[in-house]
Amino acid sequence: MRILIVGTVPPPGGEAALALAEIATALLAEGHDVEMFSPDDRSAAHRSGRTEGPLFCLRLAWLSRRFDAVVVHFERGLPLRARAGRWWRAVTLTLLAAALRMFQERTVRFDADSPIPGGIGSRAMGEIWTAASHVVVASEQDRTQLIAIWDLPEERVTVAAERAQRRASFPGGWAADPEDPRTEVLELVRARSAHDRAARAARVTLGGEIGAAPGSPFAGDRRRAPDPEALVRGAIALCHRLVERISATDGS
Amino acid sequence: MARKTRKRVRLAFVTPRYGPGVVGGSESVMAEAARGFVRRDYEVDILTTCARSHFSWANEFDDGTSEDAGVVVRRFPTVTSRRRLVASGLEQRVQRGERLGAAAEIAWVNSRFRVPELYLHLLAEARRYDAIVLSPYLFWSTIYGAQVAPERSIVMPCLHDEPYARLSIVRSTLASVAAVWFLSEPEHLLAHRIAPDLPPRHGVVGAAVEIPDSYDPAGFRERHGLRRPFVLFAGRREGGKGWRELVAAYAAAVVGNDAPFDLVTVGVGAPEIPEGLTGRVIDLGYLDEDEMPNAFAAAEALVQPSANESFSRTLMEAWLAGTPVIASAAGEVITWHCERSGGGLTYADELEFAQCLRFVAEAPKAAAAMAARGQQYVLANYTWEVVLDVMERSLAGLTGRSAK
Repeated sequence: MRILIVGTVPPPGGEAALALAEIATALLAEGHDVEMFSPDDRSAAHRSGRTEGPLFCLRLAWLSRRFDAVVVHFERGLPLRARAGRWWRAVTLTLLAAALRMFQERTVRFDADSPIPGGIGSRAMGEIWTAASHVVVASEQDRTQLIAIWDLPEERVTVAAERAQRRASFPGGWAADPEDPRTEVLELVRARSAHDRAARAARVTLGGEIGAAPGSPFAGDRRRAPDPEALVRGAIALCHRLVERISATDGS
Repeated sequence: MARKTRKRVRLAFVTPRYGPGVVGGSESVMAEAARGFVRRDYEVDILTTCARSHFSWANEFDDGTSEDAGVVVRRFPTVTSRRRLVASGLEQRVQRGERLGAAAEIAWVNSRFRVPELYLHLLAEARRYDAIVLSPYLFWSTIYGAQVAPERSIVMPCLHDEPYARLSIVRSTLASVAAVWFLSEPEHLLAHRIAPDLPPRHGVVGAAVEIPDSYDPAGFRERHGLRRPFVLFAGRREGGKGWRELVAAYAAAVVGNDAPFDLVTVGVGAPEIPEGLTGRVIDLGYLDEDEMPNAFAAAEALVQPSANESFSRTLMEAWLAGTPVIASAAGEVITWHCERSGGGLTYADELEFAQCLRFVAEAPKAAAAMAARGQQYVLANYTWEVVLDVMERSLAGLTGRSAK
């Protein structure tokens, strides 16, 4: 299967990026053709570029000709900038949902650092939930809410840490009795500790969070293009001030 | 009772190119060192790209895993930039020696070629290697690869005194890794000038060349139709390697002094021979590994015009074959080798170059004696037995393990 992964991958991006890289690695190991598309041009990705707004959604739709499946990791600047207005958000998410539907398999992912635009219950996000064939959320609480509000099939929504838990439990033989009432709790404990362990290992292996080491060229946020709305607002304010000053000078 | 078996030391050699048709000093050293470590009972992976040409970085080899002389070769496809204008603009700024910001430097590294799947492999597997050796310094595979597990990474930079070496990303890469291996003392000194914060574990390990079983100079001349005595240029025919300067110096020697030798060139890149030198400059193209020693042995002298060398394998190969060397004095490393060994002449300009040619033509016995001193120098310092011993000591200090 040809799979496109959209989201920041290392060196920048910290643990979320590492998790995405792990997914890419696992998919490659399964024999899939994988390409990574990162909003951060410092990433070790196949391609990088703008991943925000309607233009990105159109690009994603265009890329659907070359890929069978897509994984979109929601993060700051993907698919919306932090201060996107309501109409911009609605248009972008509607277009994104349409673009997602052009792929055979569609996964959307969230982690603790990627707030859900407008919240789980927002109408625009509803388009995304129904378009996705698989949703990965940051917590059990999000999963419960999502299933309850949008009536999604339970198997379509998973919690991000479960992936780490499955991998961590595989070689160790932590076989548990499915009838044991502690199983569910233990699963959660193991999922979370596996996630913490993976994060700590990553920090040790990489000498600190990737990109976060002081002085590292991969430290900090990527340079972002100026917000066009803010630019327009600034330009209008400047014109207004100029008109006021000219009016005050010539007495008109 | 079952005997307890000791796990072998596992090494990764990360090199941007590997395999037949690949011409490059760093690439050859990495390949031969990897095979040498296999002979010493290490487990070695070569992590490389599918590219053969360092101009196009096109994927010419198949990706996947194969085995070559006991080395596991893992190839990953390259991705080249789609933003050619941006890439070209950055390249020009770097070559002019402009100071770029950190973001622009990364954009420059990323704009040449990338190997995302090699990076993913390192992310997943780095901890399974006892050490990861990366070379040369200016490519994506080294700069990004060294980010993944710096505590077990060794960079063999093969530094030249050129604008690329002065990028801050090169300095931070050299400072962040566990160890740095240099091929010569001048390269070591250059590194101190451009990266004063080198890690404590750094030093000269040198490089080596394989000793051929035999030479066939007469057969070489016969096979390639070379009737007149010649001097040899071996390597990449490109600006950075001094090829154009050599052709200009040779042209001046032909016109002014009726140069006694033809100039034969072997290697890759378009030689762009001027019309007036047709018949005097002879391009034999790329020669396979078995034929190269014969080329060195058949030549009256090796000419080495490059100032951008961190070791210069061709010098060693020529001396091993008993051939003297005529080299540009602009090359700090080459001058160092010539002075230490007494095996080569250096020239500062076209006139000195012409005189060097005359010396070899008119005093062949003295030239042969000079070559013999070069041969002794190589055998004493630059065989794989000697160099692998030094590398092994450094590895043992880093990993706390050795194969023996």
